[in-house]
Amino acid sequence: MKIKPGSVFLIFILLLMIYTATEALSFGHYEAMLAPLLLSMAILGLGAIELVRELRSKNKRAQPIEDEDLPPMVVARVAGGSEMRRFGTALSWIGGFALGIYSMGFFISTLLFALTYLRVRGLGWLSSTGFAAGFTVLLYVIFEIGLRSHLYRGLVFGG
Amino acid sequence: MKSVVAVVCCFMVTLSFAVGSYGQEPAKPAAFYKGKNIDFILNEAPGGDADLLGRLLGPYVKEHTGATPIFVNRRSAGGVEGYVYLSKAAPDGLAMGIGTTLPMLLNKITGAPGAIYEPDKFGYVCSFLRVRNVFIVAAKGPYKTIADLKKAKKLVLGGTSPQGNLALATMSSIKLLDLDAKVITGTKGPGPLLQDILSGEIAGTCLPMQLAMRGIRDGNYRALFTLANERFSAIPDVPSLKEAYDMAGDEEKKELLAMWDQSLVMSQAIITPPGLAKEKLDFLREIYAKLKSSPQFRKDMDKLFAFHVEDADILAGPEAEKLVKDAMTKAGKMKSIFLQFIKEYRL
Amino acid sequence: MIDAFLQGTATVFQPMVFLSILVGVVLGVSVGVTAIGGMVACALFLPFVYQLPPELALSFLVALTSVVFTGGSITSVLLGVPGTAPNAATVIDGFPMAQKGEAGRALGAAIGSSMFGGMASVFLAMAMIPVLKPIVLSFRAPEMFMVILLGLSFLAIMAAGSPVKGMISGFLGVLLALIGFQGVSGVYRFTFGSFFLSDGLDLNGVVLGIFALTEMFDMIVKGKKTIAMEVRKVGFKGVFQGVKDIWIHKWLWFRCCVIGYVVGIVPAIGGNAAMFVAYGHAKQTSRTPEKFGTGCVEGVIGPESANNASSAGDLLTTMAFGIPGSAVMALLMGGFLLVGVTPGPVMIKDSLPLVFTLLVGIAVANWIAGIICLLIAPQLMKVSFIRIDYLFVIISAVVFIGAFISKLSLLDLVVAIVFGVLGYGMKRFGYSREALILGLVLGELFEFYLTRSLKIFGPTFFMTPTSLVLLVFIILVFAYPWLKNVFSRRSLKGAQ
Repeated sequence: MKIKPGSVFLIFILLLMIYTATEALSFGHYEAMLAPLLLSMAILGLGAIELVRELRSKNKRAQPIEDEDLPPMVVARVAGGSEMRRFGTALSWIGGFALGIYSMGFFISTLLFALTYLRVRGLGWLSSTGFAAGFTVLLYVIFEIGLRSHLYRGLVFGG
Repeated sequence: MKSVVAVVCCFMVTLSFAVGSYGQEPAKPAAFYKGKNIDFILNEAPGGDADLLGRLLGPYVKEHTGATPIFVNRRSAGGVEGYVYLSKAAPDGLAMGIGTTLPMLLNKITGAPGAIYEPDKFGYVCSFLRVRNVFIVAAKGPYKTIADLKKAKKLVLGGTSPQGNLALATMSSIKLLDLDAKVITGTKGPGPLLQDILSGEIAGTCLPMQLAMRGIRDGNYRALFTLANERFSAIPDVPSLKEAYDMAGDEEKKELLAMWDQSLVMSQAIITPPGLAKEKLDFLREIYAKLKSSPQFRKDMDKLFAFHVEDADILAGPEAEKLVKDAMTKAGKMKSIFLQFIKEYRL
Repeated sequence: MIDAFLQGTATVFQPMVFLSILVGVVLGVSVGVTAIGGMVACALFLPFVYQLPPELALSFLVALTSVVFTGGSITSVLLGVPGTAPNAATVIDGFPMAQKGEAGRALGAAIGSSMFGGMASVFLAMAMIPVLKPIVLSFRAPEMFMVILLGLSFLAIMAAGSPVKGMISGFLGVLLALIGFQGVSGVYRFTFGSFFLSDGLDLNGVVLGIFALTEMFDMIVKGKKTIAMEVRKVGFKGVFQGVKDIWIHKWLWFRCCVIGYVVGIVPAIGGNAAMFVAYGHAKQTSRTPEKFGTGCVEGVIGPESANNASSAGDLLTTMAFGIPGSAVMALLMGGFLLVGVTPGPVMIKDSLPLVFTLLVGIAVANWIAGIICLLIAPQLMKVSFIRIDYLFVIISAVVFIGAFISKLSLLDLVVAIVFGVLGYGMKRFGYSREALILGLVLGELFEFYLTRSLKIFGPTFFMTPTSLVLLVFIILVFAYPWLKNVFSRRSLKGAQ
């Protein structure tokens, strides 16, 4: 029996609930532990029902993801594997951007993120640089000069 | 070869700057602050008294130091985050905190998680608005006097967090007056507490005077007593607990009341990280001392707190520091008393 | 009272006051678009205005905070980025409409609903001034609990497609709301010793992650090149269609305004809950509830009317009681104090013209914001055709700045990413994100008021008149689908 990605997601939630219930028991005061305990038990119960239902349901062939309002040839036909890869790639870019913000601050990392992402995606040097620089300047004008909100400068530049 | 020469030249230039600056005296404070940014750590959510006071101070700081204040709210865990941040900040004069001293003290005394700072190690620039607590009830409610409170059975009074000022002051009132009462905690701030009093859900609570004043002036609330040895000039008709209730012979109660009167006093203090150079601390103290005699600032402060703040309630740095140090000497005793109160009086 | 109303209204149209409202509107809409939020904006601008005369300073601040949602609805529809937390419900149907090429229609519906909702709530507020105090004071812990339970009962509507998954989402949201310090017991729950979590999860970061990042991941996984491939109605036609939709669904709009206003006057709950309750109500009463989530205009009209409608109620309660009902109102109240105006019963009694100035100011601000946004909407629609790669950069930056700015903590970026991943999983596998958010918004209050009601009033706490009325509403929410069936069968029989 092949476990579907949806079931993996549900199992992750259930494991989290087991941890939650265990942690709740350590709170000492009954007022503090009652709600988390009841809720995690309820989610465990409901999750178990849903998991059994999912595992029993027929394992359908992975369907291409289609948007009914768009012409089919425009939408990439993806199966499970490449979907995870695209998601992983997008998540890596986001994670890298966040790390960049931590080390270099919002403005420098936005500039570098925009430039590298657009270049990797196939845009030319002129449009990538122009957009990256223009967008960073716009953010600077809005937040630093306009709103005086002094965004984080990063470890490197003294945040 | 060319690149080697370039590197050596750069090195020589750098070295000469380093040697040149080594012998320089550190800049005087006045010159030091010009053009710099000062982080004002506000230990409350935006809109709180310390937050608004800080923002009021901003233009004066800029005018007198040349530095630009940048306000940062670090309010997590009831402001503990802000105090911890300040206790670890570099003592370079570019970080300051504006916070309410009583929660700072009580969090430390009651052992709140994460309260790893030492209140008596901070530098105290000055303190605005030294106030004590006042016990309030609904003006149109059934409790007109202390006697009414004492007669009542199973009173429900209000507080925010169990280790917070409001709850502990209210619990202390229960102890001092031997009330048949419990304190229900968990309300998210003085605003909802005031509403609960109006709606009759709770009978009353202790509040710092500046929070109670607006409601008292509006006629919604009545102050029954001040948790102090003396009356407050802003509400001269309200007796102090000392005069309203005879505690003759009860040394334990007298000591508890004295704690609230002298040590556990609420004030909005400007504090600096531990270890700030004396020169800079004195410079900052001078700046803030000028505010005491600034008519515009005093007018703004009176508007903010809804009553006239007396000169005596604006403390210089050394006085504020002494207040905190005195309180910390009694920390051990206060801790055991308050933890007992929480066990006994929390609903 | 009529004199005070006329005097207050006349003040609004004085040149300097009108100008301050106009500046507040422009800044408020811009702030909404940049995902900063009303509270941060108010804190940023407060030092600049408190030295001004009260009617100028307060009109500016009130205009700024009341139109933030209008600006936020623009990014919600066009980019799937909720400009403010209360705009999150608009993303659920507004963004799919943009994806279908109906961005103009969605914008017209969102902006129009915001505009008319904000204006309508002012009339509701003015009508309620004489009776506000007894109504608000009748809401004690048991009544608050029932109101919150009523809000949570809409979880059932949101979960309609898959009840078990919907309830898992809702309960998970409630559980997430319990992270942080519990005031009742003084215990820190699930904080792992960190300050960051001691006050719970910041709603901004969660909402930006679970909606904006999720939609971005979704578009990238599906390999889309732009948000929309074609436009169904171009220029003002599309925008006007959206405004017309409000007229077509006028009763829904009106009911959601009332929901927003009522939730606004009840302290502590605020616009965050109003939008999702209104969304749930819109779905429940729709003839095509199965279309919600795929780009249904009612799913835009409902929440957008409610969140702007909540501003007037929130402000009036703050002015009438001197007790702020929300974090934004707490800051606004600070502004009141700094300009020398003390909110409270004395303000209502002695400064009624100023009260009307501010209320009418909200109506005027919403009207100006609506006109400006509707005029630029046809140009804004073009965002739907910008290459997705550019949008990925823009949305990521806006999400991170928006998440960071409310608490100035980098960990909120982590929160946004975590909820972006969770949200994608939820969307992919059929769990309701809106149910999770509703649970998150109401969860902590649910526990608080239940505990408080039991402690103060005992197990029969729900036997107060107001609580029983609210209980009837809760039963109606659950019984509505069955009642709808019964009535439609009867009317069919009657027709035959």
